[in-house]
Amino acid sequence: MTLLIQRLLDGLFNGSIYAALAVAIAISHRATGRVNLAQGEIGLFGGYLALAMASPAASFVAGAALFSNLPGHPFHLWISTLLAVIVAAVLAVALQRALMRDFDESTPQRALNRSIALLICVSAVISSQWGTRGRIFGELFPSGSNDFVSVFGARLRYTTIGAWVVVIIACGLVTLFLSKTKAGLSFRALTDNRASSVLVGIQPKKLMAIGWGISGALAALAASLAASMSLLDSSLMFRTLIYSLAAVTLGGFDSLRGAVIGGIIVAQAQTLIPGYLGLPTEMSIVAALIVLITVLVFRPWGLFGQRPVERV
Amino acid sequence: MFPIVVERGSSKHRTHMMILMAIVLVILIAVAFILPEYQVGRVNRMWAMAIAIMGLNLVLGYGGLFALGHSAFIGLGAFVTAWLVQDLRFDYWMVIPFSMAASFAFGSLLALPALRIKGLYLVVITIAVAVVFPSLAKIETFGIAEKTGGANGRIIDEKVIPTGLGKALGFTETEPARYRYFLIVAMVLVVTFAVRNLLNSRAGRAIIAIRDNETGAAVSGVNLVRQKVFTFGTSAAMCGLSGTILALDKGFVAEQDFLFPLAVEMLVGLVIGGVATLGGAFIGAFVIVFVKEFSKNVNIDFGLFVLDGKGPFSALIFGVILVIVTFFMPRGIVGSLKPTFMQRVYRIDPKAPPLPENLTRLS
Repeated sequence: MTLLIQRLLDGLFNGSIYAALAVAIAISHRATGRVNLAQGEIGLFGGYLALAMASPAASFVAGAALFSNLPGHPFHLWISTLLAVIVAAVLAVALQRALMRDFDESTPQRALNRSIALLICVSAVISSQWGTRGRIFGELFPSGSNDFVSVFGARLRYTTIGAWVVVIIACGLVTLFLSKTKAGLSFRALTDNRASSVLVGIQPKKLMAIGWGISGALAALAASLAASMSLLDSSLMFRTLIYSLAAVTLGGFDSLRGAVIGGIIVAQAQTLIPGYLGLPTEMSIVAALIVLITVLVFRPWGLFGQRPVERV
Repeated sequence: MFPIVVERGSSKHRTHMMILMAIVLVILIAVAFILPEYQVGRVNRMWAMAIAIMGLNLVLGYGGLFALGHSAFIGLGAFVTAWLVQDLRFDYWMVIPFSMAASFAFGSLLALPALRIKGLYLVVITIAVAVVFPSLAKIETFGIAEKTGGANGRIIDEKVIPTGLGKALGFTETEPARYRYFLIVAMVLVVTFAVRNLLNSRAGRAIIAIRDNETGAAVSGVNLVRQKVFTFGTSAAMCGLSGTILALDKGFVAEQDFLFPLAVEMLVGLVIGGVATLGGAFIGAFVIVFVKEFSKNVNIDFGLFVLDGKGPFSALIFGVILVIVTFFMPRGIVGSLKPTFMQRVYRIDPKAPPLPENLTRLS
């Protein structure tokens, strides 16, 4: 029983990261109607920027020297993470304006192709700039051997609690934006009915950029959280992207609540299935895939998505 | 002078086609003898990629199913080859039907969720398959890791070298790549004509009909389940053949060669050449292999930013090419140029239908 609780709690940490990236994917999907496969890499770029800002100028981290003229450098890890989140948001907006602006309903393949191009480009820039080996990111939350809360004999680590608090605050802010602001209202209108909302004067171009900005910020947050738990390496966010795509697919692509719940489900499947079946850890992605296919075969529109109705 | 206008199926059209085929054959043979041995090896890799891209094209271009998992099928073909040749001591040519069958089965299996899962969801699942496959090749259960070589890879020591007839035709063992070139080109020609004929057949029309309107195709009597499974399976089988060629040509298989970037490379090649065109696969494969070879020797230092040829550079170039192509040439090289060529330079007019008997010709 303790083992089960321990595994569930261990899965929760990954769940928070998958949830954050899944929400990011869902937001940009709501804004543009296209899935952005480069989401994870944009976030990873933010993660490396945070590392560069938090490292002293003389360190081996490329780009650290860039920030050495700023007052107070090297920054505290939290400050540099927040700065990196902002920079990632700006970067995402810039990329959206530069590459994804000629949105066209009739060419879903072209948009996907371009996001794949963005994925491999950003990934190439990151791995040529910062190398492929893992780097120590630092601790965002106390993660010593005694930093845990005991839950029925199992350890709930502070990092897990902290990650969830951050993710919940971030998602809360996004929800507030969507429900309380005018831009959020037009954002929801755009998701609901693109053609009609354009007719009543909503500018999809602006909202698409906002959507990408929010998702870039969330992705950078996810990358920083993931890196603080393990190491920052160039394939970190691609792995996370696969799980998060599974999560957002489970949730039904447009639903934020679905994305968070999907993240938890995928993370639990990833820990529980290989754990109880005695499979090697590499197989955890297979577990996620099995859950994904099973859900999609029975509910092809995801757990919380809307069933698509096609007019012939 | 231009355009040259011919009537489809006329003797002039047929003569032109024969001349074209003869020229292509001469070029194909000439390439093997003009290029040095080590370059021929690269061309072999290009042919293998072309077969794989044609396979991807069947699903993505003609089938309209955005699948990104085809690196797994290539990998399966390569691993089956390594297993059969190394453990069961098959001759290399006997491997081909087995690796194709294995990939066909795997592809058909993947088609089963594709029957219900569409669009974005299919993209996600196929990417996951491409990512999962290399780690599946490493697991210890069922002795899979022994058969595939696991993380270290596996050497195939059965070399494809000229024997009997090959020797009689003058190929030497010191230049095996040149010998293999002819075997591979023969396979490429067979596959190309098979795909061309498939697309002109009932099954091919059904594939395209499903892409254009699934409900409409079903109403017109296309069996969706059978057709999708068949499309996926055939496409996977072609990738399996490509995997066999790659494995035998290199003499080595390793799971690192079949990671997700391979699937991206195939997509890039397909998009550059032209989605849903037959000739695009060759141009795409050429660009991919050329860029990879070219970028191996690159080392640019921008001071702040260093690019070396270890892999990031070719990925960067592929990404930039993909962006440029999607912006300025969305239908790819063949897809954009062929219509103009067929209009301005060489026009094939359809055969005029015979006039009904009771009508007299006007004018």
